[in-house]
Amino acid sequence: MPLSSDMPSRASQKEMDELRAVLKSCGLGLVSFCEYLAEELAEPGHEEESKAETYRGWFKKNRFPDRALLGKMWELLRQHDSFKASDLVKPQYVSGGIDKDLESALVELSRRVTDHLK
Amino acid sequence: MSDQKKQNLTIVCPSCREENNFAQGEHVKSRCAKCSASFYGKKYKQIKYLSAGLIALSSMLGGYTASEISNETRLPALAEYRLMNLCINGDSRVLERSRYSIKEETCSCIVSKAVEDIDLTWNIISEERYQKWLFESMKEADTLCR
Repeated sequence: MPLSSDMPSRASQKEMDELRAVLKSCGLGLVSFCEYLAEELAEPGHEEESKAETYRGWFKKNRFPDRALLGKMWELLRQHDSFKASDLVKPQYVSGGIDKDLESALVELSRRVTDHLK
Repeated sequence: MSDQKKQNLTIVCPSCREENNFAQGEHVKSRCAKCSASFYGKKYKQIKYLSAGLIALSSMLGGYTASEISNETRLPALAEYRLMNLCINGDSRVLERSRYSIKEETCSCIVSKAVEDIDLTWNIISEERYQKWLFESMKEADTLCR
């Protein structure tokens, strides 16, 4: 997802709902996804310790992870076999390198095209 | 283009890149003055360089300066890639693979039409509003590409 300075630092309800919907459509339960996150994000040497409960917290009502963690969640989900086997694509755009106003205008255009497809 | 150039026909030799200039009314020779390679057996057409609008767009997309690309005939690959990439992936919402493919096709159409539009109409747009106009141009192409 494009990261820019005017973006809120935490994920939104919509973004968390999207993540939840994708997990469901991939047949991945919230608990097993959180266990997978805990294992993948654990510090070296602490892989066996379960931190799944921490990550489950981010899926509770009104508790939103910061944007960097949300990005990491998507990164790990993209690598998960269940997501790879699914019919879904999570577009990824890395911001920068072009005129900021033009970039915003084109992101808006991209949203319009998606809206038309949904 | 200068008036003198407008009166000339220039054939760049396909073999040695020598410019062969012929004044209006002068007999056009069929061989290169430098290497004697024949001009026959080739198809010649006018080279269309990037318009001022596309040079400005390239500058916004990739930081190119006018002098770097004024002799180019199409948008630099990086600028085209960035336009397409933003149109396709700028919105990060999840899509089914089949819809993502349609989005790729739609964006290809939008970018082609918008670039064509910018090329044709740039001269009637004031510099102050070219950015806004670029977006309008792409929005219009979006409607045409559905």
